[in-house]
Amino acid sequence: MSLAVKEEKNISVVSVGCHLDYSFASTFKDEVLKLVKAGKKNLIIDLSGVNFVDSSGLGALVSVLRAITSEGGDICLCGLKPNIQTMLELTRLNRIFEVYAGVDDAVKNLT
Amino acid sequence: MNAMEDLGFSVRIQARAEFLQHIHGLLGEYLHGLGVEESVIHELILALQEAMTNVVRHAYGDRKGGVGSLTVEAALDGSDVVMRTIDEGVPYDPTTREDPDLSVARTGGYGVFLIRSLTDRVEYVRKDDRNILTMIRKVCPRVVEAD
Repeated sequence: MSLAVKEEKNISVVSVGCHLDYSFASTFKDEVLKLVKAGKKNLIIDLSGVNFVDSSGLGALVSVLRAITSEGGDICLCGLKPNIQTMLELTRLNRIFEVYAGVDDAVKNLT
Repeated sequence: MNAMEDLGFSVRIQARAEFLQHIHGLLGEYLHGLGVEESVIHELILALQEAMTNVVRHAYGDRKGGVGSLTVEAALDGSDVVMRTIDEGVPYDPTTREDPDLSVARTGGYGVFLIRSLTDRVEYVRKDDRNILTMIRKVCPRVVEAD
């Protein structure tokens, strides 16, 4: 599986290592929602290993965002390639996701 | 003879989600060879991905076990890149879909919006029991002179 989860302070860092597209979006969503159900309330989604996100991937990210905010948690993205950042801007999802350059920056802002 | 008959590529695959990435590579190499700018290549791959996903999901209904063939074509016609998907699934016309309300974050509905946003023209026809979706975008290919 192209997902790795690392605990850093009280934060779960989820690193994705493949395309976040229709073929993987459901798996990604299910695995991250398991973390939320397990009580993880602060998530960083590290997309530095992702070269491609499609609308299914965006939908999965929004699903995860909704789930964690409904639990009173916090989520942010980091490591976005320019094309993925552009896609967030095109869909205006850049207004609802906090985005950081890398994991270290994201951890600083969540703690 | 039009451009789609003598230029570009045409490939036929089984319409399965896990196969679509192979088309990314093919389209990327083709457009790179034409000298199309990298950011535009990515946008065209994304538009094609959304169109192919619609075939897999809606025309064939993969989540209900449906599958069938998907033909993908791409060619340069003057300064336009013309991309086309052809399938034999149930009628599905993405051009009738309304754009999403972008003031609200959604878990779906961005696909056709992205196709429209990343191309200049999108045309759908249902012909001979096939869905044919054509996406056209003007590009600035680099002219490569032969040695």
